[in-house]
Amino acid sequence: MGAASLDRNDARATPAVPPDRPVEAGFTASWVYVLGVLSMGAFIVVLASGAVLALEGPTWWHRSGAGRFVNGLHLWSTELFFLFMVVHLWAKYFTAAWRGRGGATWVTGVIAFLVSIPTAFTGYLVQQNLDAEWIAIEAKDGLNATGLGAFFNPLDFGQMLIWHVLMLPLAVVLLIWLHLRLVRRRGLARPMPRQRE
Amino acid sequence: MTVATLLCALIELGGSGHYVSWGRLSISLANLTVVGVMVAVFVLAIFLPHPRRPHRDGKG
Repeated sequence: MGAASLDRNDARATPAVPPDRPVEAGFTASWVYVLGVLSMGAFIVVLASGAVLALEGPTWWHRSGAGRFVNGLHLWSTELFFLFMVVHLWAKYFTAAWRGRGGATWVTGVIAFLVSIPTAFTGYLVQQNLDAEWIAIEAKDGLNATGLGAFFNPLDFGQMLIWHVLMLPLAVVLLIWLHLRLVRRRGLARPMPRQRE
Repeated sequence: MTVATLLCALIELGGSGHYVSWGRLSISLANLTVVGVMVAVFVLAIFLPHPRRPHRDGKG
């Protein structure tokens, strides 16, 4: 291995991938490179189960067995979405995935993660139960303390419902789409070579 | 006794939460478990062999 290839700031990236081909490089044969897809898979289940909940309504998801199941599916797919996304973030952080042309890919991933937090948070506010009311009151105090209470009112159910089922999911979908497009067009940062002892 | 009943007996979800405290740090047992699972997934993702990974014969 030559000295040049030991540069830890190796900025080379894999070439752009045509739309009809998967991202394949030798170093991607690792479960670490599956975590992003697992996050996306969980997010698809979140969207599908959320759509069913929105169509059926709170009486259905609180009272019927099928409704409780889909409600649980929505919760646990969200848990998995965050779990895989955080581990994906760790993997990208420790491999310095922003090297080379990966800067925009890294930034869009970070923004997607940050926007996902209020997307999930507003879900707690639209459960239509005492739990939601309690969380909304506590959140209102918290947002008022930061000054954001002038813009967002967790006690306003209509406002929170639109944020949860339309505005924020749309933003997350667009950010994930942009993130994936950047992955394919700009390629993946190659693993950092081992330093010579 | 169903599997659900068994699981409910193991994990009490109806009561107050359990917290782990260490000095000024305090975290719920549920959150600590999730953090532990995330660390475990991360370690497994790094070390578990991937089906597409070529076998190393020590000559490479």
